[in-house]
Amino acid sequence: MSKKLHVTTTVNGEAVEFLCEPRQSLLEVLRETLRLTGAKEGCNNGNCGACTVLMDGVPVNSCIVLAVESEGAKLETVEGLADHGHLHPLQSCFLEGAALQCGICTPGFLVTAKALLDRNPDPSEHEIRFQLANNLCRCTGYDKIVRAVQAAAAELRTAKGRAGGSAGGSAGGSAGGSGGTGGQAGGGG
Amino acid sequence: MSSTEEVFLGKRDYQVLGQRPVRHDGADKVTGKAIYTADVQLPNLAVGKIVRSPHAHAVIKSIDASEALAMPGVFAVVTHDDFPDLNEKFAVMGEAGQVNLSHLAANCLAKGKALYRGQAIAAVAAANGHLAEEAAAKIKIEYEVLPSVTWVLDAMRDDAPLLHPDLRTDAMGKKGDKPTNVGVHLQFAKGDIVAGFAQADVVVEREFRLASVHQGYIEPHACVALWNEDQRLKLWTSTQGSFNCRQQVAELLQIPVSQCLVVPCEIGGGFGGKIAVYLEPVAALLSRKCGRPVKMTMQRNEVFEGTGPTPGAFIRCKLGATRDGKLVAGEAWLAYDSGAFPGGVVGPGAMCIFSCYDVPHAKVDGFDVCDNKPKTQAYRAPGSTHAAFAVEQVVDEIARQLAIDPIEFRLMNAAKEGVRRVDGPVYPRVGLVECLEAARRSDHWNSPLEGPNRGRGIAAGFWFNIGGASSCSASVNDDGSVNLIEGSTDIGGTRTSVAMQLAETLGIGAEDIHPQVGDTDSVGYTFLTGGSRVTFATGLAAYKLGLDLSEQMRDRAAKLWECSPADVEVSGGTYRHNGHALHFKQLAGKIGERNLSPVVGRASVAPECSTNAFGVHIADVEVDPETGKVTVLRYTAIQDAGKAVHPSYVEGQMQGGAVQGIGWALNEEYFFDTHDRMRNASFLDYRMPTCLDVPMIETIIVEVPNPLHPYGVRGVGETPICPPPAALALAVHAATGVRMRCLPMSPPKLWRALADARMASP
Amino acid sequence: MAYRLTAFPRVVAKRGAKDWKSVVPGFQQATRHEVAKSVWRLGLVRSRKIRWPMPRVFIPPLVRELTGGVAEIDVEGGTVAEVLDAVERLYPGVRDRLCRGDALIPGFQVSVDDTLTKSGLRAKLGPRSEVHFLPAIGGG
Repeated sequence: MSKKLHVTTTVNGEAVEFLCEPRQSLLEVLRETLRLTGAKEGCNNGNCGACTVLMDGVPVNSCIVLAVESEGAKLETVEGLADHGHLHPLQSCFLEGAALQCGICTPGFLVTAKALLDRNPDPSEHEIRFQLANNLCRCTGYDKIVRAVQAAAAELRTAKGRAGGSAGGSAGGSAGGSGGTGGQAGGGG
Repeated sequence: MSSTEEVFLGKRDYQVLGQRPVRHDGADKVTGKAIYTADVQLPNLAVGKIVRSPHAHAVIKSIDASEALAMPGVFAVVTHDDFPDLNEKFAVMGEAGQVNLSHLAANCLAKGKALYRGQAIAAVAAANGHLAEEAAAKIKIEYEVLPSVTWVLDAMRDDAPLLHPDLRTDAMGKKGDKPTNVGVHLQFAKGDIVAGFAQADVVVEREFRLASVHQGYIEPHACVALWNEDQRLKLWTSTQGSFNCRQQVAELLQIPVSQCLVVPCEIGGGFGGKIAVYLEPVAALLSRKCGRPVKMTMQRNEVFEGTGPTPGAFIRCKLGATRDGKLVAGEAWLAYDSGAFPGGVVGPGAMCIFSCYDVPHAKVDGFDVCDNKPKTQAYRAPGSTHAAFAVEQVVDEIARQLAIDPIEFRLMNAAKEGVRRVDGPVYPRVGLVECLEAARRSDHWNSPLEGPNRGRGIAAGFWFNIGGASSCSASVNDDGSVNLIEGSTDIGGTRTSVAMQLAETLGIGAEDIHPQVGDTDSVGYTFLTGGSRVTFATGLAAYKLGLDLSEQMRDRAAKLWECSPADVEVSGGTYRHNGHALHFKQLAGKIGERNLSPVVGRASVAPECSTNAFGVHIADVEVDPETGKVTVLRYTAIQDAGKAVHPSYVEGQMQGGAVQGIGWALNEEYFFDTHDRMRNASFLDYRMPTCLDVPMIETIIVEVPNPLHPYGVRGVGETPICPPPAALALAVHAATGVRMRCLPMSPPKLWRALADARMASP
Repeated sequence: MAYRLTAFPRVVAKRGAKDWKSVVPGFQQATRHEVAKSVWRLGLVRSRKIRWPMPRVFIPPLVRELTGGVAEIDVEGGTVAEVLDAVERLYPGVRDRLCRGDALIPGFQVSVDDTLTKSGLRAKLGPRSEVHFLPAIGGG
């Protein structure tokens, strides 16, 4: 065991400091140290995408990123997707479109899809499938996931249009429509 | 573009059933708040790791853990010796019947001999995962390597390496006299196949080979065990059945079931692979030894090498038909491997092979064969996909030889009410004919498919679907909502499909029900989530629970209105008497106000039936002749759901099963080297379909109500995996003229077959 | 053991019986009246004029070596255990092949008509029930 290192980073907009061993993965620190268990471990070698988080806006498999690499980075996880009690349109579209069954891959898909929509507000079906090929789902057959991302993209474009085209990082949170669906979806068991 | 069409034969005036409410556990799952087993944190938690056999077959000569135990922060090591003596002990476990406990224990921690690469040999608990891994590497195990075998036909040879020297073939209670790997021989017969084949104008006989595949759930097995000082064992785990897990653990550790509490966490997929226990008894033993809670999670290679898979199989299938297209005789010979221990799924495979057709004279032989693979487990309609891959291709060849349209041929011979299966039972009302008719009417079947190297295939599939015990209970809140506790672990939205049936029965909305999955101390016995049973059987319990609650509400209404309960009329959730009328929700409020006794209901059921789900799939493919790669262009899944309670999740089951079947057909396999070591034990090399590999999966839900359920529910989960490999093989044949009779039809194999075909016909 | 009139097995052979005497054990001990009655019933059933209202046990093919090839046997009984006892009286050894102690052999279950039941030998039968012995079905 080697000496622990001090890392300063931003997670979902909040400044976070932690100590970690050099061998610890970002996923391990997120889950074990910071207790952000939304990112899931499915393979621990970068193949399934269940651990996807955004690092400076880029989706990464946090299981094959060393925690020390996140020094100074801006991290976004599934826990940061909803805004002040309102689900992100991706989240509400996943719920309304039944785009999840067991739900273990869902956080990874949501984060990957957010990165796509941040970059490309109007992706084609092929572009969605290409981007989401980073993530494995064994339950849904992907059909409803792709449709949910399409629906969320449309909702985000509408919201953005309504907001007069003003650029904003959290378009979903400010959209009135998505707030309603968020409330409706609440009350889980 | 949504493409769901419903062929509807049932009652239509439901308030809740058929709607698509947001699932109750949805918000937790899209925000990362849902607690899966690996997310469970306890004070003083130790982490356990397993040491696994590097050899496919080896005698364990010695295990030396002294160096590992001397490391600071290492708390305990366990081996098979820590299990109580289970020799010759059997336990009756639900549907599985009698289970050999010494086999079950040896699959958790090997006894004397490693029977497959990846079998658990020892386990260690330490302060954290890294330390536990280091300690595991320091456990010294000496092996004497033995010859091994992983292909089912090789394992049946007289000179095959023997896994269990004391194993004798059981032929319906009659034991063979020589050592063998063949654990079971079973046979079904009906009519007289000699006479049957004598009537046939066309006879086709073919052989099929299938590699093992894995269930491929994304969440690896995980478990947290806490053996408390009061000797109570508490387990948080990822299981398809909390009560089945409890029973297995209690039997293996020889403790009363009441001493063991299983808390089912959210489960990240199972598909049949999370029924048998692997980690739970081991974590329990470690926890008892080190006096701390112990968490164990598998790595992905451990999941591939130590759990699952579905059997590898060899099938010979022969069918005969008359010139006018009537099947007259069938004969099949199936050998399925069961992995390291006897007791695989050849039985259902043999029962399913002719299950879609009315074959008057038939005989089926099945063999259950041990080899050096992990003990095979159920995988979505266990055994039936293999059988469908064989029989559907033979059916297609016969139809082509007779120049009859494949749907017409299937319709002429389809299983329907009154048809006797080869294994004996006679079908009640079933929906195969309606599925075939829906396929014939579908946009997909009626759209032309043009272009070179393209082809279309169609295939049918069947799974029994089972009943089994289910319990639930509920209490009515003052605001008219209902808290529902049920025992079925929820893998794909069954909290909602069960809650919807309760809501329908009570005449309230699905959102008025708050369902939760209870642990084994807080809900009545409920059999596992599998066999496509939950929406059917637990839904039936919810229906009965609704009747119980409604009866009590009627009694409270009678007290309110000072009349006899019999005088209170109930319809559509409204309670009426003599001009008074209160809806369920209003009445619930009055109960609190007037201090009437609270309404708490419960129900338990144990339906004994199979609900018989049939499906038909259509696939369009394009084959790249240069590489042998198959691209799925269009895909439609059609299935009789009885009643689609939540159509989105019914479609989801059909789509998910279809894509699993596509993976099985086109890519997935356990790839063994010459030492019988799996060489593709990662998601990178074991290539499951990604988003980019499949098109949208169109669905057509057929509803032929199940006469044994008040709402006609049949269950849908398993049947959709049965037709895809056959449908894709037939599409590949239509595209290339090459018959693929082995799975997977991966690019190298298809490329070779195409090259062979070119050589044969220059 | 001699069969009393009331206990005389009203057994009928379906397809596969090579010798009708072989499927009416106890024939040697039966009275002429009993034999005549049995033959009369057998004739009716064989000619498919009637189905005697008794549970019908389907003998698994691998056990038919004990029944002289008889596949289906109609015997009286209200439960699977009772009809198996009746079959056992006719064809000694059959019960041992299908049961271990008081339970079915491991991995098997009984299907009564089209219902796979978990009640095993205790499963109740109606007068026209069919009894099949099948591998246990689980699911994934």
